[in-house]
Parts: sequence; structure tokens; C-alpha cells
Amino acid sequence: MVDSAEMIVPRLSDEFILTLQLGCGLAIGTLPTGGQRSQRIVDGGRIIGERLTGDLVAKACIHMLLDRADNVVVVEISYPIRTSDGQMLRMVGQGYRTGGEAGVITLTIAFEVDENGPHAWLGRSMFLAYGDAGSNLELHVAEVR
Amino acid sequence: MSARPKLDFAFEFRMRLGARTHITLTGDQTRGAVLIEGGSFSGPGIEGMVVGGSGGDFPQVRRDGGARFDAVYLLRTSDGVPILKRNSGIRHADADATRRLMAGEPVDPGDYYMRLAPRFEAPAGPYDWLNRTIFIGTGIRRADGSVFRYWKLT
Repeated sequence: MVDSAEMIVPRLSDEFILTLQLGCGLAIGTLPTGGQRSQRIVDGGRIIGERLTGDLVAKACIHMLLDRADNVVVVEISYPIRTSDGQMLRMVGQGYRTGGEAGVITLTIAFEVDENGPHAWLGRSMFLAYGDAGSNLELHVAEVR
Repeated sequence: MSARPKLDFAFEFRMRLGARTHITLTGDQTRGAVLIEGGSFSGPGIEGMVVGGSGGDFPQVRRDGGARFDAVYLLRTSDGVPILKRNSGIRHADADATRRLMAGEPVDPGDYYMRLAPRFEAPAGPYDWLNRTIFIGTGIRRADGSVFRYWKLT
């Protein structure tokens, strides 16, 4: 059987800052499975890091919310990004906003990227994003190593 | 600005797994299927069993060793509370480590990347903190089962 001491202890390595401007909300309403579903329009955004910079393709971004009765908001994102070197990739994530409108957001993040392209490394790691909630988000994105 | 979150140890899972099945969807897309036979978990303030036969892991597996985990199964705490666990994750390994993993041979965890992101659905009560907490995990795969360790972001 496995000895726990063998196991890797994960650590976070800061990689990017993701800034995001959120626009109007589109309320769908109360779902039969519970919670208030809504979506926020993404007006724009940018990701900046030593190994990656790029702009969000705002019209194609999905920023979906499910406001639960326990005052936790489930956040699901899908952000296509055009990198400064002309590549396309997609950032997908899921997590929670806790503490209300002035609370914090924490997401687990994965990237979909061309495995033969210059940013293939993004597709081989898991990431975390965290930051204060609000309409102008600044999320820190860290690689889970 | 939010403070950088800390990683605090949450719990460890010891899983007993059934036979593995692979469904080749296309030349480079394979769906695995591993059913859960049982197991246990424990951590500060929580412990229990993994309910055998309640689900499994159905990863996307690439020939190059890349995998995306996609698991769902049921837990039952020692005080009788049912909790649904969903587990996604990423594995990346070189060709040699992949061959040994697929053969069920021991592989040093430092020889491959495996990180997990579970989500839980727990009823209101002593374990409902699981419903609003982000976890990340690491794992070791063995022929007779897997061990997962998870840390919560605080």
C-alpha cells in the first residue's frame, strides 16, 4: 500500500494577472433544480504574465453564475484568449464567489490549447484563480505545481 | 487585493478500484472506465467510507499519457451523512511513465504530473463547508488502488 510520505505536496506558482470588465447581467431566473441562474456580459479583459499575454475575445466569453440559497455563487467561465503572439486558446474554470458582492472569487482553471503550439505547457497543468469580487475583476492565476 | 490563498491539508482518500476498461472513440481519443469498489477517507473533522458500486472514474486518456479525470461517486461519513464527490483533474506523463502507469507498475510520483480538483455536494449541516470550498489534490496510482490527498484553499 502507498505511504502518504511518498506523495507530492502541491504548491502555487503565480503566473498571470487576469483583468476583466464585466457588463450587464442577463437573468434567466430560478431553475427547477434550484438557484438563480444568470450570465454577465464580458466587455473586455486581458491576461498578463511573463510567459503569456493576451486579450480576451469578449464577444465569445461566457461568465455564468448560479446564485444558490446558501449565499454561495457558483461561477463557470469560458474565455477564449488571443495571445500577443497570435495564438488562440481557451481558459475554462469553475468555482465559487463567497462573501457576497464584495466577497472573493476562487476558481480552478484549465486551458485548452494547441498541443503543438508555443503555449502547449498550459494544457498540461492545473491552475487556480483568485481575487476580489466586483464588476472590474483582477484575478491572480497560479499554476498548481 | 485578496490575499494569496493558503493550502491546508483537508483529507486523504484510499480507493479500491475495479478492472479498467478502455473505449477507443477515435484514433487519439480513449475513454477509460474504472469502477469504485470501495475505500475510505479521513482528515481533520471528517472521515468515512467510499461507497462501493456508487460510481467510478471515466477519464479521457491520450496515447501520450495525457489524461483528464472525470469521476463521480458517493461517500458516507462515519456519522452516516451521504456526500456526492465529483473529481476532475489533469495527468501528464512522458512515454515511459505512461507505459508503467498503464501497466499498473510503481511509478515515482515525481515522474508525472497529476493534480485533482474535486467538488462536493453535501447536505446542510456539519459538512456543508465542502459545498463552498475549493480543493486541489495529488494522487498516486497503484495496481491495487489509488491514494488521493487534498488540500483546501483558505
